[in-house]
Amino acid sequence: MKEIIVVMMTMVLLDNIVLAKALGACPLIKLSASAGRSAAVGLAVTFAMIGASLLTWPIDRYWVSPFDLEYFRIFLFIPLIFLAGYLVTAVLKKAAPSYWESMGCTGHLISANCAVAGIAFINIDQGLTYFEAVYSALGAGLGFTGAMVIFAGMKYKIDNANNIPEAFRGIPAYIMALAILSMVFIGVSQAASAFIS
Amino acid sequence: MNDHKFFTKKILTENPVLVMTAGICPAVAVTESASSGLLLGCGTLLVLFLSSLPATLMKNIIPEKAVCASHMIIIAAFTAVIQMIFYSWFPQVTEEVGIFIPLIAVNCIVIESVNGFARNNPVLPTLFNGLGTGTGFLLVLILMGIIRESMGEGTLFGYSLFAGDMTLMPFAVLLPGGFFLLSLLAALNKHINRKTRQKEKNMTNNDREEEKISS
Repeated sequence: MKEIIVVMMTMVLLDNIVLAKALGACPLIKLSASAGRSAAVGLAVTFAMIGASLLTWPIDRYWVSPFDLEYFRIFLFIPLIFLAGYLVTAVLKKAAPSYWESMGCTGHLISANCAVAGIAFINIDQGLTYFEAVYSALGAGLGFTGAMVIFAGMKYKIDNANNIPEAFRGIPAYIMALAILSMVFIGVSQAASAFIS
Repeated sequence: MNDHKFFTKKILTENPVLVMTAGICPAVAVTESASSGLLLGCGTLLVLFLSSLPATLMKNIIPEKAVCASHMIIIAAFTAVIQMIFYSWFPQVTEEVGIFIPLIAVNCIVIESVNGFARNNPVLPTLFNGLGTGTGFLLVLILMGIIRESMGEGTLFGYSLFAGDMTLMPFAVLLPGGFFLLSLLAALNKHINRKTRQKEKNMTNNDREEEKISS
């Protein structure tokens, strides 16, 4: 139990997938709008991450690793990760159409997302057990959701500011905000890791 | 034929990273050294170019419902091939780049141009578009890699630039430094695009006035 909590909190606070590893910065900038919508997208991405970890881990343990098929890993994993994202979007469309519409995004930003694929490969690289992998995916998803909700607030402020230089309006200002957020986050996580150890 | 326009406009006016905000993740995470930026840029360019060819050739054969899945399989196959080639030719740099080589397959740039462009367009524009998008991405990665490595580590492609262990700005190799530099590049690109657009507008206005006078 303790290991699981440690793995999860590490993924949320120390190794935040967006702010400490820069995975999934594109959907963060493109999709975050209001705080509610960002949380919706973040939760969908979380489910896609859990699904991807659930699908890829057994394939790696029982097929790729025993037979030394490492060179085959990408070809097996990418369709599985895509399938996980596709299932999440299909279930969302059927089960909660209003929720899906409120997200207002095309499906491929969830199914083909660097963060979703990245967490599947990171879990395998770190040699986690099955439950640890699932909880690490859950933690990464929660970290992504948190970053997205924070960034939605920053984006609102930037959109309504009227003293930004002409060249920096729009995308450059968003990336600059992400830089400052990431700087703050790295500082906090360094302090937290010093406090824990 | 104006097919080469698809190539040239992707480099500055519609740069995939700086204007379309696709592929920010690898552009920031990998460019700590110029050589890994160069490697990942070349890998993305190759995957993009190679996978848009079958995607555009088979666009009439693949049924509408299976388009996304079949494109994913094509891209994954080419990414696997590229990874094998890079591992055998440049093992050390590939090890440095790490998980970002497999992540070429889910890169927004590759997916958007294969899934969005190749399925609706004939062969020649698709090839130019793939080449242009990949080159635009590659140029951004090399530029960022050179700036970040020379400022943060004091080296360039592994060779040291200054005497001793001097570094100008260690902040540049950290993740926030990468975001910061990318933001500055995007602002610069936006500025240049605006200037050229203004110049073109002035030119056309002048032409019109001349036409009026002559008529």
